[in-house]
Amino acid sequence: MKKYAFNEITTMQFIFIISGIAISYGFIEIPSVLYKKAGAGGWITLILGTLVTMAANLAIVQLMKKMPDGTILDLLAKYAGKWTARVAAVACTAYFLYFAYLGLVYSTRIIKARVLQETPGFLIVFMLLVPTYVIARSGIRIVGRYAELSMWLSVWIPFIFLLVWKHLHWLYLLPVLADGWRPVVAEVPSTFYYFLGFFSTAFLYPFLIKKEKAVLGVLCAHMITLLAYLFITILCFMFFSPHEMSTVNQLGIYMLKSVELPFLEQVEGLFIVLYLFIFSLSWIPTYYLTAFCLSWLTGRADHRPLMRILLAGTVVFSYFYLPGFNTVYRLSDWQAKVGMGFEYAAPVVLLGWVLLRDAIRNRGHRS
Amino acid sequence: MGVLSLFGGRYKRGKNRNNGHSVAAAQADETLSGSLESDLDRLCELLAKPEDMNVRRLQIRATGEHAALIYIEGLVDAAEIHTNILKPLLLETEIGRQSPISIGRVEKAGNWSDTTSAILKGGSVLLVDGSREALVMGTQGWPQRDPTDPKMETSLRGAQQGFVETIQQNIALIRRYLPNRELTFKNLRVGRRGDTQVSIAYLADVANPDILQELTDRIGRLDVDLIINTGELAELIEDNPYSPFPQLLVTERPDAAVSHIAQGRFAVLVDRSPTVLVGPASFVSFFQNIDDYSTRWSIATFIRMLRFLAFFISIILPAFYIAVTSFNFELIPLKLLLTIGTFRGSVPFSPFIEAVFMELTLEMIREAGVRLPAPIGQTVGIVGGIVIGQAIVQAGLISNIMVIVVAFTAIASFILPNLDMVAAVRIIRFSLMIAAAMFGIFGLLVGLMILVGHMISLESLGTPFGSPFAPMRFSDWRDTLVRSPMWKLTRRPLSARVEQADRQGANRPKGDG
Amino acid sequence: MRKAAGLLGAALLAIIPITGCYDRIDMEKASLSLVSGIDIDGQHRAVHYTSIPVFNKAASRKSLELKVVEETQRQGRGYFDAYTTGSFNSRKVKAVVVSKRFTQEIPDWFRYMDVFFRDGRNPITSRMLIFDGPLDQLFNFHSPGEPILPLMLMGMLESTSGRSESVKTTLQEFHRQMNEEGQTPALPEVAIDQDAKIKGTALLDHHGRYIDTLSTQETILMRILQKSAGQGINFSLRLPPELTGATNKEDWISIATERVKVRIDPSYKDGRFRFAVGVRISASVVEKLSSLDLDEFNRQAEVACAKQIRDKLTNLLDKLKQDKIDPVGFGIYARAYHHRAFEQVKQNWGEAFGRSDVQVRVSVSFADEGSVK
Repeated sequence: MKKYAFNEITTMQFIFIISGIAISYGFIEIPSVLYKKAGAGGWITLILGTLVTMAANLAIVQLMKKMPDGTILDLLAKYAGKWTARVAAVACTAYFLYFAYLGLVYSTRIIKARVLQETPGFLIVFMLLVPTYVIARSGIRIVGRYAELSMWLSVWIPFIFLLVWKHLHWLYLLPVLADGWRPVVAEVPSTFYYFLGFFSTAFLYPFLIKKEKAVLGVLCAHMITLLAYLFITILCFMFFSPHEMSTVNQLGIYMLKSVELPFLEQVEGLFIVLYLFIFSLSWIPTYYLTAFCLSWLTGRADHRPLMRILLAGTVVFSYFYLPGFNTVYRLSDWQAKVGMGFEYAAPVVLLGWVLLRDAIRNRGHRS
Repeated sequence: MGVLSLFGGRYKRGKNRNNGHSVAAAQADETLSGSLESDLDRLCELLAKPEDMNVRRLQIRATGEHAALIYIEGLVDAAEIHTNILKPLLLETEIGRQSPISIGRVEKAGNWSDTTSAILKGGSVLLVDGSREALVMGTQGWPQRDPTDPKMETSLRGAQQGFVETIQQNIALIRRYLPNRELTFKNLRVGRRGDTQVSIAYLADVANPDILQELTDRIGRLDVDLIINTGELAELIEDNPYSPFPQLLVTERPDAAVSHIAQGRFAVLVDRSPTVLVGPASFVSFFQNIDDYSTRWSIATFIRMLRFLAFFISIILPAFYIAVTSFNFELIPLKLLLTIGTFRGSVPFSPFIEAVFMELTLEMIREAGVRLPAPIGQTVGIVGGIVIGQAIVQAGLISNIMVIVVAFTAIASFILPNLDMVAAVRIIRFSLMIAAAMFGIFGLLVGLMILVGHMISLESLGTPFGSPFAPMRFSDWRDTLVRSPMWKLTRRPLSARVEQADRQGANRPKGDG
Repeated sequence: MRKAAGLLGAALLAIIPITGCYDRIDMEKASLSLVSGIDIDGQHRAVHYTSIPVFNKAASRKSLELKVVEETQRQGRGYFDAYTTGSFNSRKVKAVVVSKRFTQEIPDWFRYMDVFFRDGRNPITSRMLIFDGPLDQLFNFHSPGEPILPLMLMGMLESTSGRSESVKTTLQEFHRQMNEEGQTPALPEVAIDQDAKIKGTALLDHHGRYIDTLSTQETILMRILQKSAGQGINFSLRLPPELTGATNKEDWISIATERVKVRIDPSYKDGRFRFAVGVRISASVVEKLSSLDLDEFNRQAEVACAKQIRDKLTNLLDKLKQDKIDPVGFGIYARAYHHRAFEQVKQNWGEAFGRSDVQVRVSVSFADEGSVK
């Protein structure tokens, strides 16, 4: 029985949702974090982190193969009982909501700091949530199309960054392993935060039309994320002098400020706003997934009223309080920790348990 | 009996449950009595004895039966009636195996609703004393025009023919392009009082049966008095009439309609309307013009890209100007900034007011020019454009730059080949201007995001509207942003969801010298 | 349900225009500071300057210059606001000028530039310049033949740096240099000597204090070493009289470079850094005063030119070593290849550079002799 019959997404949409949620606003912060933790060899850390993430995501895919027509919640309901699945649904709802809220607040803060300094935060939040509603209310198909379109619309971003080639010094990349291999390898977990979001695979799997392409899709998604991050990281490493990197916030945007086009000056006002397409991929799919989990929990087929309540609630909440940058960073740290357990560890454990149960059941049948 | 017995076939008004209340419903199955006098009385009663109805009593010479020929003058071809009906009936002395009436379409009608309907649609009805069936003859001859050059969709190189107001002629115009067995016309009737014939044209082996079913259902469900124009039908069966974007393509040209039919789409012809609906339409169909295929592919590609560029310019430019001069002036290069600053320094209004004022003025000039007869219309355009624009600038009400922006935007919107899309652009432009006036570039972008979000969730007869961008389908790009050379367009577009996709063989196989 | 949502949406949409557009500032109502300057007055206080364009067509002057004594740049804004018709902002600053005295007398003066980096809307592409003299002179300089101050400064800078005769240091580049342990900053130097002109390049030490000036010729050499020299650099050299057989005034030769390849190899030995600099120039001869036959004496002429250039480079490097500054960025090479050794001296690289040994080798080849023999 196909519960999710009319909401299908193509492989390319699958890839772009996963990599979109991962990249979203990470590429602004990741170079400084990598440099601080791992020095000029930080990009190696990135590559290693990608490999680990790919493995974790493949674990999720293997898990979902056990239940091709349901999400992970349905899987849990089958293997662990309804109440465990309910608890998991609550946890997923909270996680995705947290993810979406942080992405939204971060983008609002960036806009407020760089483009609209005097507009109240809740107005910016409201403006950002209107297209969210338009897109997320129509289901995963539209979210998938939006993710696809946003990623293609953002393909110009690397080319703009290449315009700073005059300011690049490749010597800054040397020495690569100044303090040896240890910091490079030890800091791999700190990159996990920037790959978070692939847990959505567990929810996207039933909607994927060609399920045999799921593995390929996952690998492609993480390759895209890796390439994007690697590009910006190496560029930042070549652009900033080593000491300078610890003095500047939001390296990606700072680099953008030095771009000068012949017909436009100081283009970062324009480009930061254009980044919203890719930033929005951190909250639009996750708001949808939150509403989806909630509707699974309450047993409703239509997630739209829940979506409206969620979004309206966010606007009202931000009228009273909008976290500052430092709070956002602290909340992100917390999210990194939770995410590591949630997205990296939990599926592997779950996979192990499911395999074990199947093995026991098979043995039981045979005997 | 006599004459009528030579005819078979019953005249059926066509299945339309929604037709009829009051008189027509009551008489739906009432049959003729057989007596000429009482039938005539009943007929005059039903039709309320209109002045233009002519009742010609006659005696059929060959059989001696009394008969009456009833028709509405003005709707019939009088010459045909005189020559092919009255003359043989009155003069032929013998009726052999064949009937003397030499009209092509002849049917029998047994009940009043069919009979009255036939008269009202330009047929002639022959009532014969003693017969319980009337003879209905197709003598339609209302005033109609020749297919002339379509007014709105002119083509430089294509056929100078446009659809006319009679559906049979329009069907004929389409059949001329596709004399193929698979070309099918599915007929429906719409409107309680109008009883308009609507035809869906498609290629049976190519078009998607699900879309056909959807279209038929939508048209079949309509409950209206009458449909005057294709535009009304479009709005009634559209997926989302609240959207600024049109979801069905309206065309006046047979060659354009046939081009879409050949790609696997459906064309809906409406009687009495010289325009035809084509669906399912995607966003890029509104940027395609029949001339693209007659000119060479490189220039056609260039013009296609120009159209997309023009679309973006016409929705974004005034909003961008407002955003940049009110919020983000650091974007402007220094020398331009000094120039614009000097211009704006002498103007009392904010850029938003300026922009709205100029756009509204332009819209008014445009509307005024459309309805006026040709010579006055042109004068108004020139007066409005040049004189008013110049005078406004010199009076210091609007800055030069604003006039340039508005003029450029107007030119850009004229490049778009489809009128509905131009209308959409006008609406979208105003909304984006408001968004930009409130939040600058950010507002402009959020407006664009909403537009994008709306477009990707829009569907046209179940097909995604944003294709080939929203569900990204690279193979369809061959005929969207670029117009690939003709030999490369070997498959029908995916957006039509066709059953059979090959439309060309290898016309330039590799290794060809 | 639908109705409620519609009403809510309408209500929200109504609120927005009522609350107003916060960030909106029409261009003509803004006073854009195009050039910003800092100087120091007699009482050792910071003086902030600004140049604002006037958008009024009827005004006699095209720009307005103001100055105020305040502690910081941002504090000066209030004062500037009071004196201008529009609302002051520095979102479009094209040039930041500091006076030489300011860099010499205020320690760590770079702190004053902080507002450009911290405020999200301020640009970091503004060009930085050093002015030789009191800034009053520059900001009150209205030459009838020149455009307004920002355009004049930008234009001069573009043309000279295009010919590699000066550096073009933006705020971002300066920030990088100040935070770079292996390189000392360099700024273009402006002076008013009958007319405004670019004097050369001012060299600063790690703390931003002014140390020395390079002439335009020396700047060219420095930019060659930095590998940021443009195309077609002109060298006018004197060939040795033995070669040309000419009397004093006729032994000049001018060459324009086509390709300059520079290679710097650092090494570390005996507690000193060594840099082996290899310069390969491919040039075309554009002017030759003597009657030297270049076809026959090609090799000798090339060698002679190379020696001349080598001497110039060595003089420049000696000057830099003596001043204990490194605008070229040898420290970056040192750090890249000899990380450990560099770490020990990175706190004061200028000193270490002063002690280092730089060997220069130049080779010139003539690609083109020109249209006449």
